Amino acid sequence: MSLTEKDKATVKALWGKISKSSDAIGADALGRMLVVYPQTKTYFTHWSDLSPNSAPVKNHGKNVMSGVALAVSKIDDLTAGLLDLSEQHAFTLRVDPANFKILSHCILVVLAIMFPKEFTPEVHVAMDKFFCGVSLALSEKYR
Amino acid sequence: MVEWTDFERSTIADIFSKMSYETVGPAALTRCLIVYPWTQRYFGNFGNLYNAAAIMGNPNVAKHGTTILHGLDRAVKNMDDIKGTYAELSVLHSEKLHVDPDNFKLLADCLTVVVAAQFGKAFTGEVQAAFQKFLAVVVSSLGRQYH
Repeated sequence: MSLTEKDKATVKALWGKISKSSDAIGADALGRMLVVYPQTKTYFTHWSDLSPNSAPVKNHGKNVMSGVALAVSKIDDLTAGLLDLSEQHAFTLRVDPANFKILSHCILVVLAIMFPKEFTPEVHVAMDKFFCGVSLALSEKYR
Repeated sequence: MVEWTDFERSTIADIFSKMSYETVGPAALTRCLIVYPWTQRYFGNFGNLYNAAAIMGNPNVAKHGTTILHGLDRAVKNMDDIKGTYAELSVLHSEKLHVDPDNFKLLADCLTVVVAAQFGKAFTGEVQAAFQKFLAVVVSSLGRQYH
């Protein structure tokens, strides 16, 4: 299920429209994930406050979205482009890759909430494929 | 036996009371057929599903989307025995329709996205958790009679 040229164009076009809201998107997606999938909280026991809109959640949401921005810029070769991040997730963070799907889903839900008109079914499929690609690239160095 | 909090019960009731079945049902099914095109395998006799525009304009898809949502209604009205409520439908999906139960989750995810778009900011993390828990119970019940 690799990204077609049309998928890449769709992702870049949407990113152009939404990137200025990326901090808010990241904060909402992450906050939401911690509520909807409480098992994900196990990765953040070092945070003082796991509630949506807390400082650590907002800050980390920003981090996640800068990773997404990087992925958009490296969309023609996600594996190579995200190599450093993959090493970080594989050796340092050791996040179970099943969670990439969970966070991707939460980001898509936030896009539907914040950009209902733009998040058409065609845009949805391109973004879903993109996040699958990002997740795969992030898993690259795991084993 | 699934335990529902008062918040979960009222949230599910609230979402479904505010939903237009004729809009949300078709929107969810068309989105599923577009985002996960392999699900089209079950709708060979629905006519033109050739591209997104065709799917979105297909009256059979729209009609079936509405049917599905009215089917969900039965779970809303019987939250304390969704498994029992869907026993027959589960047999139907397994024995007659031969639907891979993994597909139920795909449709559930599309329904979540459509409902999120309709509710906007009101679709908080807590509301999403309740809605997804409800759909997970529905999905599990529909897969229950497969063998």
